[in-house]
Amino acid sequence: MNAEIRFKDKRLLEALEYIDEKYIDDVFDFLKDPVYSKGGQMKISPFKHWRHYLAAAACLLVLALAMPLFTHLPEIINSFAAGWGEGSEYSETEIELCLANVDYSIFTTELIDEINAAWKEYRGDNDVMFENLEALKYQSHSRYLGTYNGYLIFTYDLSNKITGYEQFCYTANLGIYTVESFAYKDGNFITLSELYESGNISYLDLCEIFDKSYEMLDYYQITRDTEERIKLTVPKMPELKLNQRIEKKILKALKEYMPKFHNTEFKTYEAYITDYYGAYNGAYVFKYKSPEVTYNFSFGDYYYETVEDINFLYRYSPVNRPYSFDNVCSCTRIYVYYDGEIFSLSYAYTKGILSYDDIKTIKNYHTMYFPYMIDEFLEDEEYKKHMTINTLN
Amino acid sequence: MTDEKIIEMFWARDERALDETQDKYKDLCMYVGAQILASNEDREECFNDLLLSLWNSIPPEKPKKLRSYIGRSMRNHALNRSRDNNAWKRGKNFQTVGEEFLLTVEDGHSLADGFEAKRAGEAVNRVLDSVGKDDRRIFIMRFYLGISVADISRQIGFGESRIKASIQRTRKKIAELMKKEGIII
Repeated sequence: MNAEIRFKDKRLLEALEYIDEKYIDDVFDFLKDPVYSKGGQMKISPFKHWRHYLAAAACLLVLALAMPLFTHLPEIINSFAAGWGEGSEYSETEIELCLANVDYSIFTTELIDEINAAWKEYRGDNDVMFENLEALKYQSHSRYLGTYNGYLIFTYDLSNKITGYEQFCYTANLGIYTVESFAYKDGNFITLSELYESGNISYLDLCEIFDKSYEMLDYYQITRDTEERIKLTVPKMPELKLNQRIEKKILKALKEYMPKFHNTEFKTYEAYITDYYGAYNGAYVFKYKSPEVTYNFSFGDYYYETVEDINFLYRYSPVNRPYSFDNVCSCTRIYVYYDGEIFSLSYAYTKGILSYDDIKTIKNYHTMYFPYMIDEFLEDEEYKKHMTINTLN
Repeated sequence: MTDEKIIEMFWARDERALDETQDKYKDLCMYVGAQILASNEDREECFNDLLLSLWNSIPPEKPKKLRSYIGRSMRNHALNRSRDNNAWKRGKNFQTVGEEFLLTVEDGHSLADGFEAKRAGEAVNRVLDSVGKDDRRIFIMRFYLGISVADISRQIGFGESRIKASIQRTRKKIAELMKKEGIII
């Protein structure tokens, strides 16, 4: 980070000085329950009183007595699942999974045409909801989120068409941007807000739609042109396998080098090598993940690293989600192990450990592993300016 | 002890006010400091500076809400120390907070160009007025306190993607409002 950016940070922080005290107080109020540990990390402790320990012990006793029940647990779950329908109890895990399993089978070309005609009429322009039947599953600016009480729910990214923050409205205090979610039934579109207010969907349905629409945000980044380019640019490379002995050496070296790379104070490290990019004259190139690094890298979405004219775009992905493009949950960037030491890719090149040809090969593997990490995003000057990661040695 | 009582003790120049403040708010201050300063020693020193500044500023001041007054002061002490130490790189989260906020930039101009802190702050307030409670909390936790997305996620109970999406949307709204009001351009 250069001095200029630090200067800018300082000025920006000045603006935040003017944030209304009531909002700050509300946050402190919100934070008051958890216990703040000495190191500054917040921990939520359920045990603040001896009675809590007693209650926990009682729960354990009950669990022990109920152990025989667990042998029949799968059948019990199945019997519940049989009656599990729309608008049933809200579960975040359930929702993340059901997004991946949205049922597109109800759609036919005729239905798509019908929806498009209704959409054109509703919006008063020539935009279509889906270009064709196939577009249902990949179109970036509009997506189908499921059917609720006979209404087909769609998100439609209007960010290029609507300006002005005041045009966003909220539903049921959930912060749903209703202008982006619409319900379709019998040739008519209505906003999600109108659907909710008419009592045709429940609050729990709304929660579910809310989560699904957020899942879709990732997808907004990718245009159809990008999809086409991806098909053309993904190279086919021979499969690589990392020797277990080398893997152990790398993990050992990571324990030593991770604090240096990530400026952390963590004492214990768990790391896994997620992607292997090959061996180049004794240098082993890889990506890894670690809970600690995940913590440290959880800012922003994209980072990039440049070696000569070759760009490596990295994307942080917090969890292994159905619509995450790099769903291996990698810690983003590529590292190099050489002679017991760990280097960043660019530093390894600067030191002459890797040649330009090596970097090109690594780039091919990177494109193969992360087809969505193509240079599309780098055309945005702002990304170039602000998302460059420091060269670490 | 209530905040009002502690303030009364400050006004009465009763040194026990410092002990009470320490008992009640040290954990919170250390947490706020930890988002900005990596070193525990620095945080401790900041907290001591904070106590001294409270002693000097109350009276004449009589904060309406002692907790937010102390939290804000701790944040400022920590930021000052961070700048003094040139320790931006060592802070856990704040080095990226500025960068994230800069992404509200549009049309090739940065928010810092033609910067008017007060107007910008007021615009942020207006947007915070208009967003939901959770979005507001997330924004303040991220940008004002510098809490990491992972930590916010743990505390609020939403997934990290939802937190990021909320931040992204609030930022976008702020950028749009600033652009509209001519603060950026």
